[in-house]
Amino acid sequence: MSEQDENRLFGSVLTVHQVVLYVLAALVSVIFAFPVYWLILSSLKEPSAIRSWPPMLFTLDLTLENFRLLITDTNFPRWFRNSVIITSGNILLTISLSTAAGYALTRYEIPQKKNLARMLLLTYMFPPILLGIPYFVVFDFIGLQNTLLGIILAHASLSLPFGTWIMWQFFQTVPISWEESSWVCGASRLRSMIEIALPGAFPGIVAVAIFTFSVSWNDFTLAFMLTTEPSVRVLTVGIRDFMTGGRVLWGDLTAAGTLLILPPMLLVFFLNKYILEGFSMGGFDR
Amino acid sequence: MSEQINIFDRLKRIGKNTVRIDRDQLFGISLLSPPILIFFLITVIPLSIGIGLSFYGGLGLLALNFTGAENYQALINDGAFWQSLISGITFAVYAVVIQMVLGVAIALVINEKFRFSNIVRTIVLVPYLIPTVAVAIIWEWLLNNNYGVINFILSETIGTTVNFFSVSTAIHTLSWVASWKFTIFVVLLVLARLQSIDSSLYEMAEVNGANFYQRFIDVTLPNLRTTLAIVLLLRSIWMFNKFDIIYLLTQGGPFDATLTQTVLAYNRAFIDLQFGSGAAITTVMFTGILITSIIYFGVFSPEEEVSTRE
Repeated sequence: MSEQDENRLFGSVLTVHQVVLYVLAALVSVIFAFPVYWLILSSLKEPSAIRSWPPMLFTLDLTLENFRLLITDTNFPRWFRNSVIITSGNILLTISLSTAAGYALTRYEIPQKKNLARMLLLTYMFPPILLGIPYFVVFDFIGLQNTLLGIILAHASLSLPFGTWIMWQFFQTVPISWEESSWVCGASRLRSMIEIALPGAFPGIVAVAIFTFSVSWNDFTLAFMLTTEPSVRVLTVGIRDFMTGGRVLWGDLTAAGTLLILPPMLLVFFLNKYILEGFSMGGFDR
Repeated sequence: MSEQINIFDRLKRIGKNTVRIDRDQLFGISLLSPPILIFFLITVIPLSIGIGLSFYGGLGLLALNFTGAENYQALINDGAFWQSLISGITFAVYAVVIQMVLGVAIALVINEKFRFSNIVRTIVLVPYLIPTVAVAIIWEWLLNNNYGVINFILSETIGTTVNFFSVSTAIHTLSWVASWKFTIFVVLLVLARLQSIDSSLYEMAEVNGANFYQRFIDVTLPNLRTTLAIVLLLRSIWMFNKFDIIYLLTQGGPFDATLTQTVLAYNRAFIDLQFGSGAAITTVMFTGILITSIIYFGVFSPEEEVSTRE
């Protein structure tokens, strides 16, 4: 389709093909956007208006009352804090380990590389529940039950293998000759890695960060299995408190849900490019 | 790759005290050892413990005792286990078909250039990146019997409401809600492949009088074949092993209608405290993953995306 065709949208000529295209695109947008819009809108309604019938599909009568109640009257701040600590911890752990591994795997001769690559990809297929049961047993013996560190390690089992795979691929895109020329000038291996290879593989580091973020921030299964004490509950597990016990607290639930999706939404809007780049390696959530 | 240094060879020689290891190899070793060590600690060892655990019986963690293959023998005679496999396969096949068909369709639409196409591409990414827990909240809210928007629309248009979480409807609800989130996985991988198809192929087909449908069959589909096969394989294994969305929306109910093997494994371990029995079910799942991965590696050689020369 040429530039000219595009400009005809609001002009007089619209082909059947274009009409179909716009209708489908609008339909797709509504199906994917409306549910999220509805969650956010509901969270901004007066607590008394949230379950109004018929439902108000649009209103300007908005308030932050649900959020105020959520933050002052529930354990939400603690859950949020725990989620932030676990997610940041796992991002730090996964980035540092996968960057080191990715560099070594690209630049050094290491036996069994092919099997290692296959092992990383096999691990990528693992569902969280596969390791959840043994983790529960092991953590019970070594005292990592109900600790944030335990959850970080459990999450890293999902993010480290694939993070390493991403970094391995990205370091390959940085030509060895760039590093070699710095060695000629007397730079050490450490220096050429930090000053040449790392900046070259930077999009990979961002992709790993986003991937790891989504593993930890989204995880329900592992945190649910490995914590029983309220003090170490994370956001995804804590939110269920609002849904169980007979009645659903929709005000708290929609407000907490909105705050839960806010960080990933910001990522989509600001790091769109990196998300798509990292995606070509095989996606983020499974 | 002459600039690479074979760590393994050098290590052997160090053992024989013939060559002093130089600083560069030491650097490589110190880079790779921590990640490998941690990978074994947090992935390989727990996996092995899980397999080992499946040979233990007893209630709770303190009463664990070795019972050999008893857990597996019990599973073979366990109607609930076979029923859960059927539920798991039903959910996986249903959801993967939705995701593949709609994924290709949506990719074809947003592959076209039109005004707002960038906005549409951003919108479709949103459900994919938001947590499954949020997806569950959103759809429980939309599909609620008493004040859900969907039932409001249904009662206004066709004059009746639907219970989306009944014995007969729950599996449909789960499959569609899961697809709302995961269809984008298919869309993005198909989209990437579509954009790499040589546009002259389409021009040639057009010159020869092929219409939109014929161009799809003759040009698009053959080029998508490998991508679709890989996506099909990955999505199948992931949907078959899904736990969170099912547990959050139905907990396997109502009346076990959506009790897949993942939920059964959870119940056995964490509700009945039969950790060995739960581990036996996840070990069966692991066997499935292993077989799938053999097909994956054998047919598609995904490991060749990295240079594995030693």
